[in-house]
Order: sequence, then structure tokens, then C-alpha cells
Amino acid sequence: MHLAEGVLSAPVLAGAAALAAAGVAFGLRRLGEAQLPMAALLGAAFFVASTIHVPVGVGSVHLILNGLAGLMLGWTVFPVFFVALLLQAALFSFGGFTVLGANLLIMALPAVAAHYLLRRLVRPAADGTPPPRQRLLVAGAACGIVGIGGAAALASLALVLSGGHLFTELIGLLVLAHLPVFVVDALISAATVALLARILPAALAAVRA
Amino acid sequence: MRAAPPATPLAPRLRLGAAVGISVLLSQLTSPALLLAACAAGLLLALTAGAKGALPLHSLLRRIASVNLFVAMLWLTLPWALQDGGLQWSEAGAHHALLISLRSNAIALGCMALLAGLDAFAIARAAAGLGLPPRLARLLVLTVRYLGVLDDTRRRLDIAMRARGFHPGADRRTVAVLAQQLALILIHAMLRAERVDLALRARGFAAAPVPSARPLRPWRWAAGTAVLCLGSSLLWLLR
Repeated sequence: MHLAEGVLSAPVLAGAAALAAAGVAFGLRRLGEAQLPMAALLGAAFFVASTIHVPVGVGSVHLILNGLAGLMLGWTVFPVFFVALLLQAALFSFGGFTVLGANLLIMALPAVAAHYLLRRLVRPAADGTPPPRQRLLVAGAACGIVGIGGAAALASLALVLSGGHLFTELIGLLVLAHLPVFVVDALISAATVALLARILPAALAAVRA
Repeated sequence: MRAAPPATPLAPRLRLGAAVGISVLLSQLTSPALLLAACAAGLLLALTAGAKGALPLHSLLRRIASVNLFVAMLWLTLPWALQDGGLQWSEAGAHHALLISLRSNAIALGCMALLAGLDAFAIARAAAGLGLPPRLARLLVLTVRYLGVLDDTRRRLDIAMRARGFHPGADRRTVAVLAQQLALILIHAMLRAERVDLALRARGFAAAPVPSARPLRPWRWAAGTAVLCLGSSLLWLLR
């Protein structure tokens, strides 16, 4: 979910950039040198996964997966998403440099929320037993709900702060356009979390405490 | 992702810095005439870069289309006001939509022209050279390095799934198969990270410097600050 250049007001852009910079700095503090390859690989994996398109009606939607990324990466998601958004702005004209801070907050804050809200649901028991499948499915679906729902809410907030009632209908259209993404992201995240627990339980055990 | 010939002889980090600079400058302009001129100049530069082979026309068109998806949503909402007489055209809303459309396109075209021909590695090195914190610069370079690896994995999985007769649709099977694909990409990434970690430990790990991430010389910082001040003054005058 990217807001385009030229939409947000200068104070919103500056405030979002400052908050995003603080988030990146905090994320980097929690990311040791030895964990850089893991963060880079997971960042690249989520970047590649976001190019997967799912047919919906006559069109298709692409995955966002910010909730799932947040569940696995915690605060590290800030620098990881910064890298992804910078590359998307420079190489594909998705978003932009001025709006990078706002887009980073929109994507990363719900991801961090998903991490803190859902990490207990996916962690294996002390003896290594994975959580029940139903609980994993709920946690995965909640990743999509918190991730995409939170991103839509923050994007709406940024628009309201920039244009007030002027953007009311635009916000409605933006939310409506993202409803299919919301459903698809929740379904695929749920199935993915359940699969990860079955194929490589260590993947979810690595979720930071 | 092979680098195409550069569109201009400017150094990549200067081009990236200029792209960020013009984005900031244009995002604050409120004059439609100036923004239209910026759009025209950006389009001309982008087409020139295309003629030199640094920015293929199909890529330019695809990127303009992606920018204008959001612009289309603006035109569907901003110029219309629901009043007693029904849906009515709003001049103020249309003016706002016009400004945002011109800004979005001018910034996108300017950035495309300036960054034409730079691949992901060049962007990463340029960003590192512009003063990103060293750890963030290493994360950027590593991410770019692994993007190709994991994209290959995704393509192989895609081919394997299609060879087994999978056609994506809006159904349960598609959700299950795409979740499998995603889980396998993540597992591949984690196992590779484990191997990288072991290799680093075996070599007595020390963080490697990012290539071409030399700090800018003081005179370059001074020149950059001067350009920034000049741009801000210009912006203030134009507003």
C-alpha cells in the first residue's frame, strides 16, 4: 500500500519522516551484525513474495504480507521495509522518496503491532511442541487483518491530516480497493503460518520474544 | 538485473541525491504552470534516456501507468461533491486533483530520467554513498544481493507448479498452493541465512565495508547544502 508523491502536506511528510527515522534507528539497534544476513534474506523473501499475484474477479491483487513480516522480524521490520520501499521507489516508481517516511510508517507500524499481539500464539511450547493448527491459522489470519487493516487506517489518518474532509471519498475508495487484498493476505498468511510450523518449526521458534 | 548504459555521465549517488532533491522541491510547488513545465521537462529527459537505451519505453509506460492509478482514484473522488442537487462538480476539488496529478507525474518522470540505467546494485551503492548508517547500507546491499537468489527460487517453484497443471484462480486450491510457495521461499531464505551464518563464523566474522560507500568530501557536503539552500529559497519565491 503506497501513497503517491504530491498528496500529503509538508508537516505530515516531515513528521512521518522523523517518526520513520526513529523507527529505523530503533530497529537497527536491535539488529546485530550477525543477524544482518537473516534480516536481508527475509526482507528479500518478502519483497519477492509481494510480486505473487492472486486472481480476484476480472483482475488480480498482489500480496503485501506486512503483518507476517512483522510477526517474524519484530522492530527489525523498520530497516527491512525501508530498504524494500527505497528500492521500489527508485526502480519501479511505487511510492516515492518524499513520501518514503509516511509509507514506511504505514507498512511497518502495523507489522510491529502484529508482532507484539500475535507472537505468543505461534511460539512452540517449552518442549518444542508446535501450537495447535487452529491457533496457528488464527494467528496467520490475524497477521493479514492487523497488517492490512492497520496500514489502511494509517494511510487514512495521513490523508485526513493532510487534507481534512477533502479526502473523505478518496479514503473510502482506497479502503474499498484494498478489501480483496485484505481477504487474500489474511487467507494466505494463515495457511503459510500453519505450513511453516509443520515443515520447519524452527522458523516460528525464531520469532523474537 | 544487468545495468543498462548510463543515461547521463553523472555519478550514481549524485543522481540519487538529485532525484531526492527534486522530489522534495516539486512536492511543495503549488503553481500548475510550473508543475506542467516540470512534467514536460521530465518527460523529455525520460524519453532522451529511453533513446539512449537506459530506459525502455515499455518500462517508462508501465511506471507512468502505476503512478496514474492513484491519480485516477483522485479524479474519481476529489472533483465531485454530494450536494442537495446530487453529485456536483467542485472547482476547488478539481484544482486540488490537478495539482496532485501534476506533482506525482513531474516527480515520477524526473526521478525516472535521473535514475535511468541504474540497477538495484547501483542504487544500493549510491544510497550507501549518500551517508546511510553503515549497518543500514550493509542491509541494503545484502538485500539486493539476495533478491536475485530468491527471485530465482520463486521462478523455479512457479515453473514446477505450472508443470503439475496449476492455474491460479479465485479458489481454495490457489490459496493452498500460493501459501506453499510462500512458505518454501521463506524456508529457503532461512536455511540460506543459516548457511551464511555458519560460513561467517568459520571465517571469523567481521563486518565487511560496503563497496563504494566512501564518505562524501567536505566540499561536496558544502556544495550540497548550498544547492539545498538555493532550492529552498527558489521554492519560497515560487510559492
